[in-house]
Amino acid sequence: MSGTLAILYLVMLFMFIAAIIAVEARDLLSSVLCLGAVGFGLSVADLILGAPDLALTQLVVEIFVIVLLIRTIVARVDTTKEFVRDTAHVAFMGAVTMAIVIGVYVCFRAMTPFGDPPMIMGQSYMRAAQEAGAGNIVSAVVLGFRAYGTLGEAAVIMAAILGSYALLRSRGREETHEGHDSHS
Amino acid sequence: MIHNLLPYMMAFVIFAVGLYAIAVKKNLIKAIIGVIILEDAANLFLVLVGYRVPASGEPIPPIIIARTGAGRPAADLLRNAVDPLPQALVLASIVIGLAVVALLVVLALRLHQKYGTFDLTEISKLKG
Amino acid sequence: MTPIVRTITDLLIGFILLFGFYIVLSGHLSPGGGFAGGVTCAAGLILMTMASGVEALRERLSRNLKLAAAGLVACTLLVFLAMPLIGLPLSDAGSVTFLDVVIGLSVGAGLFGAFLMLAGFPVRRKAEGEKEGQ
Repeated sequence: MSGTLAILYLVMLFMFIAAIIAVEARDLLSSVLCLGAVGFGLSVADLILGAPDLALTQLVVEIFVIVLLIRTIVARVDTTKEFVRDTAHVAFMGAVTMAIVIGVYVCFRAMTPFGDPPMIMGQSYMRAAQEAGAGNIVSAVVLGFRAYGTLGEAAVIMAAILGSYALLRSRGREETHEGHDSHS
Repeated sequence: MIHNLLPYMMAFVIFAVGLYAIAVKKNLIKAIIGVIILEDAANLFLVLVGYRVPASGEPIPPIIIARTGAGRPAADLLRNAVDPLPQALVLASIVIGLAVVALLVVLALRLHQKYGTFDLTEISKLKG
Repeated sequence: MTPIVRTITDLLIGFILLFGFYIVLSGHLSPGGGFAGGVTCAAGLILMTMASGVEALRERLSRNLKLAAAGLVACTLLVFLAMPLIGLPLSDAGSVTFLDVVIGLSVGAGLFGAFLMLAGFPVRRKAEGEKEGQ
Protein backbone atom coordinates (compact mmCIF):
# COMPACT_ATOMS: atom_id res chain seq x y z
CA MET A 1 0.00 0.00 0.00
CA SER A 2 1.71 3.19 -1.14
CA GLY A 3 1.98 6.30 0.98
CA THR A 4 -0.69 8.18 -0.97
CA LEU A 5 -3.25 5.47 -0.35
CA ALA A 6 -2.38 5.29 3.35
CA ILE A 7 -3.00 9.04 3.69
CA LEU A 8 -6.28 8.63 1.80
CA TYR A 9 -7.45 5.94 4.22
CA LEU A 10 -6.48 8.12 7.18
CA VAL A 11 -8.46 11.05 5.77
CA MET A 12 -11.51 8.88 5.17
CA LEU A 13 -11.26 7.49 8.69
CA PHE A 14 -11.13 11.08 9.96
CA MET A 15 -14.24 11.91 7.94
CA PHE A 16 -16.03 8.87 9.36
CA ILE A 17 -15.24 9.72 12.98
CA ALA A 18 -16.18 13.38 12.44
CA ALA A 19 -19.46 12.31 10.82
CA ILE A 20 -20.33 10.09 13.78
CA ILE A 21 -19.56 12.87 16.25
CA ALA A 22 -21.57 15.37 14.16
CA VAL A 23 -24.60 13.10 14.21
CA GLU A 24 -24.46 12.09 17.87
CA ALA A 25 -23.35 15.29 19.60
CA ARG A 26 -25.92 16.74 21.94
CA ASP A 27 -25.00 20.37 21.38
CA LEU A 28 -26.03 21.63 17.94
CA LEU A 29 -23.08 24.00 17.63
CA SER A 30 -20.59 21.15 18.16
CA SER A 31 -22.25 19.06 15.51
CA VAL A 32 -22.09 21.89 13.00
CA LEU A 33 -18.37 22.31 13.68
CA CYS A 34 -17.80 18.57 13.22
CA LEU A 35 -19.71 18.84 9.96
CA GLY A 36 -17.12 21.41 8.93
CA ALA A 37 -14.45 18.83 9.73
CA VAL A 38 -16.19 16.34 7.41
CA GLY A 39 -16.21 18.88 4.59
CA PHE A 40 -12.59 19.85 5.07
CA GLY A 41 -11.60 16.18 5.15
CA LEU A 42 -13.42 15.75 1.85
CA SER A 43 -11.50 18.70 0.42
CA VAL A 44 -8.17 17.12 1.44
CA ALA A 45 -9.30 13.78 -0.01
CA ASP A 46 -10.08 15.55 -3.30
CA LEU A 47 -6.53 16.91 -3.36
CA ILE A 48 -5.10 13.47 -2.71
CA LEU A 49 -7.22 11.98 -5.49
CA GLY A 50 -6.04 14.48 -8.09
CA ALA A 51 -9.05 16.81 -8.31
CA PRO A 52 -7.90 20.35 -7.45
CA ASP A 53 -11.00 22.14 -8.80
CA LEU A 54 -13.16 20.07 -6.54
CA ALA A 55 -10.95 20.72 -3.52
CA LEU A 56 -11.24 24.48 -4.08
CA THR A 57 -14.99 24.43 -4.63
CA GLN A 58 -15.69 22.05 -1.74
CA LEU A 59 -13.68 24.22 0.65
CA VAL A 60 -15.58 27.41 -0.09
CA VAL A 61 -18.96 25.65 -0.20
CA GLU A 62 -18.29 24.03 3.17
CA ILE A 63 -17.53 27.42 4.71
CA PHE A 64 -20.80 28.70 3.29
CA VAL A 65 -22.76 25.78 4.77
CA ILE A 66 -21.22 26.26 8.22
CA VAL A 67 -22.04 29.97 8.20
CA LEU A 68 -25.61 29.25 7.10
CA LEU A 69 -26.19 26.58 9.77
CA ILE A 70 -24.67 28.61 12.59
CA ARG A 71 -26.88 31.55 11.72
CA THR A 72 -29.95 29.36 12.04
CA ILE A 73 -28.92 27.75 15.32
CA VAL A 74 -27.71 30.73 17.29
CA ALA A 75 -30.31 32.41 19.50
CA ARG A 76 -33.20 30.19 18.49
CA VAL A 77 -35.14 28.39 21.17
CA ASP A 78 -34.91 24.66 20.75
CA THR A 79 -36.79 22.25 23.00
CA THR A 80 -36.00 18.96 21.31
CA LYS A 81 -35.82 16.16 23.84
CA GLU A 82 -33.28 14.07 22.06
CA PHE A 83 -32.31 11.80 24.92
CA VAL A 84 -35.76 10.23 25.12
CA ARG A 85 -35.06 7.33 22.79
CA ASP A 86 -37.51 5.14 21.05
CA THR A 87 -35.26 2.10 21.25
CA ALA A 88 -37.26 -0.12 18.96
CA HIS A 89 -37.21 2.50 16.21
CA VAL A 90 -33.46 3.10 16.56
CA ALA A 91 -32.67 -0.61 16.55
CA PHE A 92 -34.82 -1.17 13.49
CA MET A 93 -33.17 1.66 11.59
CA GLY A 94 -29.74 0.42 12.63
CA ALA A 95 -30.57 -3.04 11.32
CA VAL A 96 -31.87 -1.61 8.03
CA THR A 97 -28.67 0.42 7.60
CA MET A 98 -26.49 -2.64 8.25
CA ALA A 99 -28.52 -4.62 5.75
CA ILE A 100 -28.05 -1.87 3.15
CA VAL A 101 -24.30 -1.82 3.76
CA ILE A 102 -23.99 -5.58 3.36
CA GLY A 103 -26.15 -5.55 0.24
CA VAL A 104 -24.09 -2.76 -1.28
CA TYR A 105 -20.89 -4.69 -0.58
CA VAL A 106 -22.24 -7.58 -2.59
CA CYS A 107 -23.06 -5.18 -5.43
CA PHE A 108 -19.67 -3.48 -5.27
CA ARG A 109 -17.93 -6.74 -6.14
CA ALA A 110 -19.02 -6.16 -9.74
CA MET A 111 -17.30 -2.77 -9.93
CA THR A 112 -13.97 -2.09 -11.58
CA PRO A 113 -11.10 -2.36 -9.13
CA PHE A 114 -10.02 0.81 -7.43
CA GLY A 115 -7.41 2.74 -9.38
CA ASP A 116 -8.11 1.34 -12.82
CA PRO A 117 -11.18 2.99 -14.36
CA PRO A 118 -12.20 2.03 -17.91
CA MET A 119 -12.11 5.71 -18.98
CA ILE A 120 -13.82 5.27 -22.31
CA MET A 121 -15.26 8.78 -22.48
CA GLY A 122 -12.39 10.24 -20.51
CA GLN A 123 -9.83 9.23 -23.10
CA SER A 124 -11.80 10.74 -25.98
CA TYR A 125 -12.40 13.96 -24.01
CA MET A 126 -8.72 14.30 -23.28
CA ARG A 127 -7.80 13.68 -26.87
CA ALA A 128 -10.36 16.20 -28.12
CA ALA A 129 -9.51 18.80 -25.49
CA GLN A 130 -6.02 19.17 -26.85
CA GLU A 131 -7.50 20.39 -30.12
CA ALA A 132 -9.99 22.58 -28.26
CA GLY A 133 -7.14 24.52 -26.73
CA ALA A 134 -8.23 24.38 -23.12
CA GLY A 135 -5.66 23.78 -20.45
CA ASN A 136 -7.96 22.57 -17.73
CA ILE A 137 -9.76 19.53 -19.11
CA VAL A 138 -12.40 19.50 -16.36
CA SER A 139 -13.41 23.05 -17.34
CA ALA A 140 -13.46 22.04 -21.00
CA VAL A 141 -15.75 19.11 -20.17
CA VAL A 142 -18.08 21.12 -17.94
CA LEU A 143 -18.38 24.16 -20.20
CA GLY A 144 -17.60 22.72 -23.61
CA PHE A 145 -18.53 19.11 -24.16
CA ARG A 146 -21.30 19.04 -21.54
CA ALA A 147 -22.43 22.64 -21.49
CA TYR A 148 -26.11 21.70 -21.50
CA GLY A 149 -25.59 19.91 -18.23
CA THR A 150 -24.16 23.06 -16.74
CA LEU A 151 -27.13 25.01 -18.06
CA GLY A 152 -29.48 22.63 -16.25
CA GLU A 153 -27.39 22.93 -13.11
CA ALA A 154 -27.58 26.73 -13.14
CA ALA A 155 -31.36 26.41 -13.61
CA VAL A 156 -31.59 24.11 -10.57
CA ILE A 157 -29.67 26.59 -8.42
CA MET A 158 -31.94 29.43 -9.52
CA ALA A 159 -35.05 27.33 -8.86
CA ALA A 160 -33.89 26.43 -5.35
CA ILE A 161 -33.03 30.02 -4.45
CA LEU A 162 -36.23 31.46 -5.93
CA GLY A 163 -38.22 28.79 -4.09
CA SER A 164 -36.62 29.67 -0.77
CA TYR A 165 -37.20 33.37 -1.46
CA ALA A 166 -40.88 32.66 -2.09
CA LEU A 167 -41.08 30.69 1.16
CA LEU A 168 -39.62 33.56 3.12
CA ARG A 169 -41.76 36.17 1.45
CA SER A 170 -45.19 34.81 2.25
CA ARG A 171 -44.75 35.86 5.84
CA GLY A 172 -45.79 39.37 4.78
CA ARG A 173 -49.19 38.14 3.70
CA GLU A 174 -49.77 36.34 7.00
CA GLU A 175 -49.21 39.52 8.92
CA THR A 176 -51.78 41.55 7.03
CA HIS A 177 -54.38 38.80 7.33
CA GLU A 178 -53.92 38.22 11.04
CA GLY A 179 -56.74 40.53 11.89
CA HIS A 180 -59.22 38.64 9.72
CA ASP A 181 -58.88 34.97 10.63
CA SER A 182 -57.19 33.22 13.48
CA HIS A 183 -56.13 30.12 11.57
CA SER A 184 -53.70 30.88 8.79
CA MET B 1 -10.33 -8.16 -3.31
CA ILE B 2 -10.94 -6.44 0.01
CA HIS B 3 -8.11 -4.07 -0.79
CA ASN B 4 -9.65 -3.21 -4.12
CA LEU B 5 -13.03 -2.40 -2.60
CA LEU B 6 -11.95 -0.83 0.67
CA PRO B 7 -12.08 2.85 -0.44
CA TYR B 8 -15.56 2.35 -1.93
CA MET B 9 -16.77 0.66 1.23
CA MET B 10 -15.41 3.41 3.45
CA ALA B 11 -17.16 6.04 1.36
CA PHE B 12 -20.35 4.03 1.62
CA VAL B 13 -20.01 3.67 5.39
CA ILE B 14 -19.96 7.48 5.65
CA PHE B 15 -23.07 7.48 3.43
CA ALA B 16 -24.71 5.06 5.87
CA VAL B 17 -23.95 7.40 8.79
CA GLY B 18 -25.79 10.20 6.99
CA LEU B 19 -28.69 7.90 6.14
CA TYR B 20 -28.96 6.82 9.78
CA ALA B 21 -29.07 10.47 10.86
CA ILE B 22 -31.93 11.25 8.51
CA ALA B 23 -33.93 8.19 9.57
CA VAL B 24 -33.51 8.30 13.32
CA LYS B 25 -32.89 11.81 14.58
CA LYS B 26 -35.77 13.84 16.00
CA ASN B 27 -34.07 17.20 15.63
CA LEU B 28 -34.59 18.86 12.25
CA ILE B 29 -31.10 20.37 12.20
CA LYS B 30 -29.58 16.93 12.79
CA ALA B 31 -31.55 15.64 9.81
CA ILE B 32 -30.17 18.48 7.66
CA ILE B 33 -26.66 17.59 8.87
CA GLY B 34 -27.39 14.01 7.81
CA VAL B 35 -28.34 15.22 4.31
CA ILE B 36 -25.06 17.14 4.04
CA ILE B 37 -23.02 14.11 5.13
CA LEU B 38 -24.89 12.00 2.58
CA GLU B 39 -24.04 14.39 -0.24
CA ASP B 40 -20.39 14.58 0.82
CA ALA B 41 -20.11 10.79 0.84
CA ALA B 42 -21.74 10.53 -2.60
CA ASN B 43 -19.33 13.09 -4.06
CA LEU B 44 -16.40 11.27 -2.45
CA PHE B 45 -17.55 8.02 -4.01
CA LEU B 46 -17.78 9.58 -7.48
CA VAL B 47 -14.27 11.01 -7.24
CA LEU B 48 -12.96 7.65 -6.02
CA VAL B 49 -14.38 5.92 -9.08
CA GLY B 50 -12.40 8.14 -11.43
CA TYR B 51 -9.04 7.70 -9.70
CA ARG B 52 -6.25 6.18 -11.73
CA VAL B 53 -3.17 4.98 -9.86
CA PRO B 54 -0.20 6.84 -11.34
CA ALA B 55 2.94 5.12 -12.52
CA SER B 56 4.97 6.90 -9.86
CA GLY B 57 4.60 9.76 -7.45
CA GLU B 58 1.40 11.65 -6.80
CA PRO B 59 -1.77 11.38 -8.88
CA ILE B 60 -1.92 13.44 -12.03
CA PRO B 61 -4.84 15.86 -12.39
CA PRO B 62 -6.11 16.36 -15.93
CA ILE B 63 -4.48 19.71 -16.70
CA ILE B 64 -2.45 20.25 -19.87
CA ILE B 65 0.66 22.36 -19.58
CA ALA B 66 -0.10 25.94 -20.56
CA ARG B 67 1.31 29.40 -20.16
CA THR B 68 0.90 29.25 -16.42
CA GLY B 69 3.24 26.33 -16.29
CA ALA B 70 1.00 24.12 -14.19
CA GLY B 71 0.27 20.73 -15.66
CA ARG B 72 1.76 17.98 -17.75
CA PRO B 73 2.35 17.58 -21.49
CA ALA B 74 -0.64 16.22 -23.30
CA ALA B 75 0.70 12.81 -24.23
CA ASP B 76 1.54 12.14 -20.60
CA LEU B 77 -2.07 12.81 -19.65
CA LEU B 78 -3.57 10.16 -21.89
CA ARG B 79 -1.62 7.45 -20.14
CA ASN B 80 -1.56 8.64 -16.55
CA ALA B 81 -4.14 11.26 -15.64
CA VAL B 82 -7.22 10.65 -13.55
CA ASP B 83 -10.59 10.56 -15.27
CA PRO B 84 -11.97 14.08 -15.85
CA LEU B 85 -15.58 13.01 -16.30
CA PRO B 86 -16.55 12.21 -12.67
CA GLN B 87 -14.91 15.46 -11.59
CA ALA B 88 -17.09 17.39 -14.01
CA LEU B 89 -20.19 15.74 -12.54
CA VAL B 90 -19.15 16.34 -8.94
CA LEU B 91 -18.34 20.01 -9.61
CA ALA B 92 -21.96 20.74 -10.45
CA SER B 93 -23.17 18.43 -7.69
CA ILE B 94 -21.34 20.32 -4.95
CA VAL B 95 -22.93 23.65 -5.78
CA ILE B 96 -26.37 22.12 -6.30
CA GLY B 97 -26.02 20.51 -2.86
CA LEU B 98 -25.39 23.93 -1.41
CA ALA B 99 -28.54 25.37 -2.99
CA VAL B 100 -30.62 22.44 -1.74
CA VAL B 101 -29.24 22.88 1.79
CA ALA B 102 -30.15 26.56 1.64
CA LEU B 103 -33.73 25.59 0.73
CA LEU B 104 -33.86 23.05 3.60
CA VAL B 105 -32.59 25.65 6.04
CA VAL B 106 -35.32 28.07 4.91
CA LEU B 107 -37.92 25.34 5.48
CA ALA B 108 -36.51 24.71 8.96
CA LEU B 109 -36.65 28.42 9.76
CA ARG B 110 -40.28 28.70 8.71
CA LEU B 111 -41.19 25.64 10.79
CA HIS B 112 -39.40 27.10 13.77
CA GLN B 113 -41.19 30.38 13.33
CA LYS B 114 -44.54 28.63 13.36
CA TYR B 115 -44.02 25.96 16.03
CA GLY B 116 -41.21 27.38 18.14
CA THR B 117 -39.13 24.23 18.07
CA PHE B 118 -37.05 22.06 15.78
CA ASP B 119 -38.48 18.85 17.22
CA LEU B 120 -40.00 16.71 14.50
CA THR B 121 -42.33 14.79 16.81
CA GLU B 122 -43.90 18.06 17.94
CA ILE B 123 -44.19 19.40 14.42
CA SER B 124 -45.72 16.22 13.05
CA LYS B 125 -48.66 16.53 15.40
CA LEU B 126 -49.83 19.27 13.00
CA LYS B 127 -51.47 21.69 15.36
CA GLY B 128 -52.48 24.51 13.02
CA MET C 1 -18.94 43.24 15.05
CA THR C 2 -15.79 44.55 16.68
CA PRO C 3 -13.89 47.42 15.00
CA ILE C 4 -10.92 45.15 14.33
CA VAL C 5 -13.01 42.83 12.17
CA ARG C 6 -14.69 45.74 10.45
CA THR C 7 -11.42 47.49 9.58
CA ILE C 8 -9.69 44.35 8.35
CA THR C 9 -12.72 43.45 6.26
CA ASP C 10 -12.82 46.87 4.68
CA LEU C 11 -9.16 46.51 3.76
CA LEU C 12 -9.42 42.92 2.53
CA ILE C 13 -12.68 42.92 0.59
CA GLY C 14 -11.03 44.26 -2.54
CA PHE C 15 -8.43 41.50 -2.53
CA ILE C 16 -10.99 38.80 -1.88
CA LEU C 17 -13.12 39.92 -4.81
CA LEU C 18 -10.03 40.26 -6.99
CA PHE C 19 -8.98 36.74 -6.13
CA GLY C 20 -12.48 35.51 -6.90
CA PHE C 21 -12.38 37.18 -10.33
CA TYR C 22 -8.95 35.66 -10.92
CA ILE C 23 -10.24 32.18 -10.18
CA VAL C 24 -13.13 32.74 -12.59
CA LEU C 25 -11.05 34.17 -15.41
CA SER C 26 -8.27 31.58 -15.25
CA GLY C 27 -10.69 28.66 -15.11
CA HIS C 28 -9.56 27.37 -18.47
CA LEU C 29 -5.87 27.26 -17.54
CA SER C 30 -5.61 26.16 -13.92
CA PRO C 31 -7.97 24.70 -11.34
CA GLY C 32 -10.97 26.81 -10.52
CA GLY C 33 -13.58 27.88 -12.97
CA GLY C 34 -16.93 29.56 -12.65
CA PHE C 35 -18.31 27.76 -9.60
CA ALA C 36 -15.35 28.13 -7.28
CA GLY C 37 -14.82 31.76 -8.25
CA GLY C 38 -18.50 32.66 -7.89
CA VAL C 39 -18.78 31.08 -4.46
CA THR C 40 -15.56 32.83 -3.35
CA CYS C 41 -16.92 36.23 -4.39
CA ALA C 42 -20.16 35.49 -2.56
CA ALA C 43 -18.20 34.45 0.55
CA GLY C 44 -16.28 37.73 0.49
CA LEU C 45 -19.50 39.73 0.29
CA ILE C 46 -20.96 37.66 3.13
CA LEU C 47 -17.93 38.53 5.24
CA MET C 48 -18.61 42.18 4.63
CA THR C 49 -22.29 41.72 5.47
CA MET C 50 -21.50 40.06 8.77
CA ALA C 51 -18.86 42.60 9.71
CA SER C 52 -20.71 45.80 8.92
CA GLY C 53 -24.38 44.79 9.00
CA VAL C 54 -26.94 44.42 6.25
CA GLU C 55 -27.92 48.09 6.14
CA ALA C 56 -24.36 49.30 5.68
CA LEU C 57 -23.83 46.83 2.86
CA ARG C 58 -27.05 47.82 1.12
CA GLU C 59 -26.14 51.46 1.34
CA ARG C 60 -22.63 50.83 0.07
CA LEU C 61 -23.76 48.66 -2.81
CA SER C 62 -26.66 50.78 -3.94
CA ARG C 63 -24.67 53.97 -4.02
CA ASN C 64 -23.18 53.23 -7.40
CA LEU C 65 -25.05 50.07 -8.28
CA LYS C 66 -26.86 51.18 -11.41
CA LEU C 67 -23.76 52.79 -12.84
CA ALA C 68 -21.56 49.80 -11.98
CA ALA C 69 -23.99 47.26 -13.40
CA ALA C 70 -24.43 49.19 -16.64
CA GLY C 71 -20.68 49.63 -16.97
CA LEU C 72 -20.05 45.95 -16.33
CA VAL C 73 -22.56 44.81 -18.92
CA ALA C 74 -21.26 47.28 -21.49
CA CYS C 75 -17.65 46.24 -20.94
CA THR C 76 -18.46 42.55 -21.18
CA LEU C 77 -20.42 42.94 -24.39
CA LEU C 78 -17.80 45.19 -25.92
CA VAL C 79 -14.94 42.89 -25.18
CA PHE C 80 -16.56 39.62 -26.05
CA LEU C 81 -18.24 40.82 -29.21
CA ALA C 82 -15.53 43.07 -30.55
CA MET C 83 -12.61 40.73 -30.07
CA PRO C 84 -13.44 38.33 -32.89
CA LEU C 85 -14.09 41.28 -35.17
CA ILE C 86 -10.65 42.71 -34.53
CA GLY C 87 -9.13 39.29 -34.99
CA LEU C 88 -7.59 38.74 -31.58
CA PRO C 89 -8.77 35.77 -29.53
CA LEU C 90 -9.62 36.71 -25.96
CA SER C 91 -8.36 33.44 -24.65
CA ASP C 92 -7.14 30.17 -26.08
CA ALA C 93 -10.26 28.35 -25.17
CA GLY C 94 -12.79 30.61 -26.87
CA SER C 95 -16.26 30.46 -25.41
CA VAL C 96 -15.19 28.67 -22.24
CA THR C 97 -14.03 31.92 -20.65
CA PHE C 98 -17.27 33.69 -21.47
CA LEU C 99 -19.31 30.89 -19.96
CA ASP C 100 -17.05 30.90 -16.91
CA VAL C 101 -17.72 34.59 -16.28
CA VAL C 102 -21.46 34.13 -16.75
CA ILE C 103 -21.59 31.18 -14.38
CA GLY C 104 -19.48 33.02 -11.83
CA LEU C 105 -21.91 35.95 -11.88
CA SER C 106 -24.94 33.68 -11.69
CA VAL C 107 -23.76 31.44 -8.88
CA GLY C 108 -22.20 34.26 -6.87
CA ALA C 109 -25.24 36.51 -7.12
CA GLY C 110 -27.64 33.68 -6.35
CA LEU C 111 -25.82 32.49 -3.25
CA PHE C 112 -25.25 35.98 -1.92
CA GLY C 113 -28.92 36.76 -2.51
CA ALA C 114 -29.85 33.63 -0.56
CA PHE C 115 -27.74 34.80 2.36
CA LEU C 116 -29.18 38.32 2.30
CA MET C 117 -32.67 36.82 2.38
CA LEU C 118 -31.83 34.81 5.46
CA ALA C 119 -30.05 37.68 7.15
CA GLY C 120 -33.20 39.78 7.09
CA PHE C 121 -35.29 37.05 8.71
CA PRO C 122 -36.36 37.80 12.29
CA VAL C 123 -35.25 35.62 15.15
CA ARG C 124 -37.43 34.60 18.06
CA ARG C 125 -34.95 35.17 20.82
CA LYS C 126 -34.68 33.04 23.93
CA ALA C 127 -36.76 34.34 26.84
CA GLU C 128 -34.97 35.35 30.02
CA GLY C 129 -35.60 32.40 32.33
CA GLU C 130 -36.02 29.71 29.71
CA LYS C 131 -33.62 26.79 29.82
CA GLU C 132 -32.34 25.28 26.64
CA GLY C 133 -34.00 21.97 25.80
CA GLN C 134 -31.93 18.81 26.11
